[in-house]
Amino acid sequence: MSLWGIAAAVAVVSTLIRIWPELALRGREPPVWVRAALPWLPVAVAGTFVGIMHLGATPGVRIEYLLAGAAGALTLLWRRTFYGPLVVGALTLALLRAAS
Amino acid sequence: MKAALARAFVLAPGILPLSLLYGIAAGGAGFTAAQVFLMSGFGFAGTAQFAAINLANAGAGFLAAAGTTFVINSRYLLMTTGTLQLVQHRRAPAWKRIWLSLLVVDENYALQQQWAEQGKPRTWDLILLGSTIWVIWMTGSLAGLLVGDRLPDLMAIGLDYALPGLFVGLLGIFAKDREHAALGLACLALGGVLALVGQAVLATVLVPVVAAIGWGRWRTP
Repeated sequence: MSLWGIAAAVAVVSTLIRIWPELALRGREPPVWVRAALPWLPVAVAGTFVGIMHLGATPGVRIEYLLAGAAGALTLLWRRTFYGPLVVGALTLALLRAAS
Repeated sequence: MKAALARAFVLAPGILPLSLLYGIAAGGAGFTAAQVFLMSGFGFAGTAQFAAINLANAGAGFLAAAGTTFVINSRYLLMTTGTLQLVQHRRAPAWKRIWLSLLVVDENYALQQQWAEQGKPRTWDLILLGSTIWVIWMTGSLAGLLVGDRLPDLMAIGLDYALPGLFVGLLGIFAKDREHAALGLACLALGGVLALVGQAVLATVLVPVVAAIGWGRWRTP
């Protein structure tokens, strides 16, 4: 029962959180403070996750991820797309692991 | 349709290993395929699902899991509002907006916003994008649970870097001027430091939402 309870809690609470904005707004504009925050949310999400995924990686792969991230970020000087950092980062990581 | 699938499959190498890992961990904690289906299908939130496994191992029940899930997933309140704003001008019916809302997750949200910066995706495009990511997450979770111990090592070819690499690219795209870049780098530093001291979940929950609300209030006259 406990595992069913946990699974149900994750499912129900996540669903309610996601549909709450629609139930509350019903197609109307959100409050001013929310509208003011929304333009900044994507860059804040991306920045936070870059920090967490690189510095928060397990100690064994942290340096590898930082090197891959640096190599990937260099591609942004050429073109601002997510394909460059993804492909160059993964290739850098594969090379580092092949070399070690 | 092609654009939505292309975007979703870019995420696949990053999401698949994570979902496989989740399925393996869930199996180890004693969850059945039906329970994993319930969590991945309706929960659809990696951090909260991994936290649920820790709770199961600790012998917790419904209330503890509900409270933890609420705290961890509360950021989706703001993200879902942001997603709904993308289709506001299209006057999509309520069922489409609810379907779209149910598919909001960090990676999908970031891809939606990136797509919106390039053009105006249709509601169906965004639903297809989210649904494809959902299918990948579900498939990986169940595969990890059922056959996880027989799968090849994806780390040897660097595929575990797909998700961090994707977010590096998205940060570059969203940092479109000095002000956005400053906020993104500040969040990077704060999130990174918190993760270094073992507070990654706290960083996930608080940093982006507090930063966006705080910066928005400060910049609004």
